[in-house]
Amino acid sequence: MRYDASSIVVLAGLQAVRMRPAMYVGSTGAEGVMQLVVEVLQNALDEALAGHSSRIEAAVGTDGRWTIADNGRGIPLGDHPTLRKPIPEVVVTELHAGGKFSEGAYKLPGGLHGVGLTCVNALSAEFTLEVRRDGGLWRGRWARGELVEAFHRVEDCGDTGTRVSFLPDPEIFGGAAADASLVETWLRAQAWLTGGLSCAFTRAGTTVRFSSDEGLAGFARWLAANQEQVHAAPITVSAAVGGIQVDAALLWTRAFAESVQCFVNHVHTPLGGAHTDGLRAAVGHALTRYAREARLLDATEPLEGSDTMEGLMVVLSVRMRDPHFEGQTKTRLLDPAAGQAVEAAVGAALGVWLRANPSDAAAVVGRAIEAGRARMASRRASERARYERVEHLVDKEIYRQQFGIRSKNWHQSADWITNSGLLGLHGGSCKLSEDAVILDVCCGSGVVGNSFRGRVKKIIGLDLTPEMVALSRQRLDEVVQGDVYDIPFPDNSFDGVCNREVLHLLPQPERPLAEIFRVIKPGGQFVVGQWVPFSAIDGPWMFQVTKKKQPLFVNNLYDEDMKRLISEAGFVDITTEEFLQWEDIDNWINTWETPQLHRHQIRDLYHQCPAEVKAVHPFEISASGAIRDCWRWVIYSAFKPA
Amino acid sequence: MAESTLPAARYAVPKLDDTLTREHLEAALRDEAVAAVEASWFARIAEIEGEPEAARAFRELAEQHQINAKGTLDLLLRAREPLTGRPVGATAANVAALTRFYSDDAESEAFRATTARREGFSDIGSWFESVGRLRAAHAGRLAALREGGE
Repeated sequence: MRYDASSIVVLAGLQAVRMRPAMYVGSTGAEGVMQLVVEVLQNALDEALAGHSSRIEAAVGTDGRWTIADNGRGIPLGDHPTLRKPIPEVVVTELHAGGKFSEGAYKLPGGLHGVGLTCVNALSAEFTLEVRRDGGLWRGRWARGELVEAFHRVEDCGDTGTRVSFLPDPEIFGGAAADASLVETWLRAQAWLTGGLSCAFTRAGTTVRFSSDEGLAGFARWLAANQEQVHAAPITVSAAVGGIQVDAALLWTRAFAESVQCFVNHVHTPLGGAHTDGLRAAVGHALTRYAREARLLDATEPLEGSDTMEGLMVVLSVRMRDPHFEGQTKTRLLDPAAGQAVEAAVGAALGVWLRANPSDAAAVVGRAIEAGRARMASRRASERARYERVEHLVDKEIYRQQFGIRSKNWHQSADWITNSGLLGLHGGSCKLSEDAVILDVCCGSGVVGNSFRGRVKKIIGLDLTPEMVALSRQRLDEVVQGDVYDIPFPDNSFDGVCNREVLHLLPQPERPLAEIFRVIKPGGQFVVGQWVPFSAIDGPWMFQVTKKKQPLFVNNLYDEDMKRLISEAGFVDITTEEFLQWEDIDNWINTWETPQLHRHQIRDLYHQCPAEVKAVHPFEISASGAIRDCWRWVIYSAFKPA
Repeated sequence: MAESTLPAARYAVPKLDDTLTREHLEAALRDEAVAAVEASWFARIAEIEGEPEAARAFRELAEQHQINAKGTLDLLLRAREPLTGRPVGATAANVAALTRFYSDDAESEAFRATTARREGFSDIGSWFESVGRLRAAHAGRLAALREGGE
């Protein structure tokens, strides 16, 4: 295969990249800097994919300077036949110049087709290109795209490779910096995806190295780290279907959420597309077929595609010619042929594995059946979290079941539960004397009551769920099992009552508030924390997100609702403190009560969030697809009249 | 504006207001709009469940329903705006019509919320209340637009 001066084709001269940087790299913020880094990394990877390099090394300095090197063939050194300049100079100063435009040099290009290094050069305050090839080390320097030191031979050397060093221009990007952790993630992934490739990343003087003989199976094991595995070894797939190479590793775990990492020609596609559609179809059909054949599933019992994916850690790599993506950022693959190839390859391999490993197969299918039953239970919970008569206000068994299961990993199931700033505002609202006795209503693990520790004499807990009662006894002085609709204490028993994030789960919240009012002594204090929508604009959107997550959710309480409820219960002197807390949504929805389908729909709500909502409700979706949502908490303090 | 060069209509076109045809158009619009949302929703479920062919079919049906809904609305607007019965056409009239809808519907949502709670559906009641608040906010937004345009 030729890769020399004749394989470089110039399609256009350098356009005013510096005049319109966002047009070429997406933005002039951190994402734009990241795009520069990705362009250089992708070039290094292309050499590895073409089978000519085995090492990529990246480093970022404290000044934001990036250095990326590979041990590939090095950019060809001859003069360009028409431009009469050294090829390396052409590659970094001419748009649309690069080996990927001529047939033959690369089989599976993954970069942005020639604008890469030129853009990086144009948008860097300093740019250095070093090429090791033909027995010598060659170097050229540029500043903001202007030549500073012509490309020349520096010294003799015996190896080959390309090294690019650049400092993103502060005039273009201000102080924006690329997210180094994403680069680390990318390098780690490429080491697994590319046989024989080792990667290294240096930042803050520390170097981490990635290499794996295990390939995608190692990647799947890494995704499953800290999760209980359903079967020991990942199921691996490697097949070429209709000219499309499909490689995958699948590993089922006891986690609730799935993790699907999919790549097309080594480019991460966080929104999936045709290839992940094919994967889901293959997994669903293969497991259902096997479950019926092996009589593990009752003919009448429904098993949905989402059930079969629950807890699955999967890496899918597709290599194909001319993939088509939705949008410039390559986040979603459109080619139906890729979906068909993945469905055929994964379906066949999974079918073989299920039949060859009956005990593991029974565990995997059992996992899916379990997920289906949880989904049905969640649906029932949603239907039964209603009242028909006052005496049958709620089905308490549903609450006991859900929180009993969640008690096993309660503190890990959401960030807000143990957030010290948030808890501090609860205990910090205390205006009671040191000899006060308080009741933590619906106490869960007792962290809210415990935030009053040192401010009052005794903290008693109340919870409906036996498992939570046991958990909170580790923190509180005394805990009673009981119902907030009928608090098992006489009138005027406590100097204070505290509560957090419960009223939105309780139909007719006026009734538990009346009970709380009843058990507080005259002059006593009530402290309650609740997240609320930022305004009327994000309310219905938050309703949908929360209802999908928690089927017991029945009251979308706004700030004004909380104040009205507290006031109508008879409390006075209401004051509030606000706290903004960032919640890891992927972790928050990774719970028993949230079915797989709902997890997807919650993510869709963030991805398709109306602009009007985004303007009032902050949240972030990272390049890897992780979602962080900013929750508005209000801590209300009120008093029973003396 | 240049004078129309189209020939005058040969026959008188009947008025659509207060006809059975208008009622049918309104019903058809509801059906098309509901079907568009429903097919799009089902497409996503099929996608998640690993049924790409069904997903594609649902998505293409949704696109058709959306086009049909717009076509039906286009015919209906010859008479009046279906949500409020107000005349529409130019942007100022359209803003006025939707402002009225948002204002009126905020009250309707409150009524729906009360009914839902009375019948034991706390979560559905809360949903109607949330939508009612959003309607009021949208009425305010369009009212501000009208004031800004005056």
